[in-house]
Amino acid sequence: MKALYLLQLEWKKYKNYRLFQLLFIGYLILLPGILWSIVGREFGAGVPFDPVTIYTFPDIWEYMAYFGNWLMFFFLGFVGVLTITNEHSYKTFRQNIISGLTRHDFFMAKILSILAIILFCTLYFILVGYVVGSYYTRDPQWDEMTEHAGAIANFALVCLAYSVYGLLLGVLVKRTGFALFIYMVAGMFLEKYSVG
Amino acid sequence: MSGLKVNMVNTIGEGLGLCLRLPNFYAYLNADQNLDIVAHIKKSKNDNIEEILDIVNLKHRRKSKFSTYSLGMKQRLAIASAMIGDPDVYIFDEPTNGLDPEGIAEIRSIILRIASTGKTIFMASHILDEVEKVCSDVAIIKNGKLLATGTVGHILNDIPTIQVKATDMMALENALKNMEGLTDVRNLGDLIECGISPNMKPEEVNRRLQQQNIILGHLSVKKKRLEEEFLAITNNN
Repeated sequence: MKALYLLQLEWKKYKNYRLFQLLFIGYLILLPGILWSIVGREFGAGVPFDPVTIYTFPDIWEYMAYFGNWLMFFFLGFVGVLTITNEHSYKTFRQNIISGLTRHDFFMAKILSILAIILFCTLYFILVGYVVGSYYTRDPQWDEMTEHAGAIANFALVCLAYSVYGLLLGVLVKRTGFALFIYMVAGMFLEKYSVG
Repeated sequence: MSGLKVNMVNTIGEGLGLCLRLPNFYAYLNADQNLDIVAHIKKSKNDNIEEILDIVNLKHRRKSKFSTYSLGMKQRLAIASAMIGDPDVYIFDEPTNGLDPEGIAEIRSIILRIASTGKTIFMASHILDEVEKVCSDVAIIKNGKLLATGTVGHILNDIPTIQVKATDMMALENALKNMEGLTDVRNLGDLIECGISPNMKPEEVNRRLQQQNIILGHLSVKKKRLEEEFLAITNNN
């Protein structure tokens, strides 16, 4: 029940935080929004999207994981950075300790809340993929549906990587603007060189 | 102190209300939401929040964001957060630092209100005027050493002093120096000041001086201010 107590504490901090609300709603709208915006569109040469399989099972999972992780680079990474740097800039880390929270619980609360957000976002990811895929796939079969479903796990893993990277920068840099800047620059740089 | 062992980490939130230095809260949350977080951390039921906001006089601004508060209001919110969980012992570290006179008066009345409910409040302060007005007991600490301790009245009334003035100051000074029951006769220029022992009364001093044909133009009993006493105590050690 300790975990629930810590999650509730973080929820009280998040729920009225305007930037968090915007990022979260942005994810909820953009994930299906990006899919819908490319339905039926022609792609130029060199774009690795297949306009036929992009929104049908089983390939939809992989394409969605690709868009979804780009959204998550901004959403989860920013949340990870801000959830730590805010506590530093408002000096509420200190106030929390004065009120009786232990350091260990303070960071556990951060990690647990990030894990809970990843869980929720992954469930939403599955829901969107299922609805869009079922709508565009003619006569979907279970085998077909789950063939590339491993991409869901990939999506969740990349989410975890972004958020942990954000938390780490928050702890190391402490200054909100600077931490976000390093997150974006270094994140894109690392991504480029680790992939290609 | 009410049976509490002051082991900071273990007793925070369980019977100990802390209000240390500058108040820090979530700037984007209002008083209610900030106190809600504190109550959650302290695992306290929020049922007395109404009363607490009433005591610290923040009810009218409870829905305003913390970032819009003045320093005095922030300090009052910090006291409110210390009050959550209804601790028996409070520790306030310079609660009136940086506040305007009105804010200081408000904090003072809040502290007195909390004290009147039978709570113990430890207050660290450099503003001695504040201590004199608020505290019942004082301890003076210098470089970690306890120099003096006792009730405010006891520390202040250690040696009361009188100030006298007459036309012939030389004769007055000599007469006072020869009189028993007086100590530490000092000529301040237009006044002469001396300590007076408990069994000597100012009336008695006046009567004896008149017997020596010295008529006083001024006689005042000075109650010592805590500031002077503080300086005297810290300088002697």
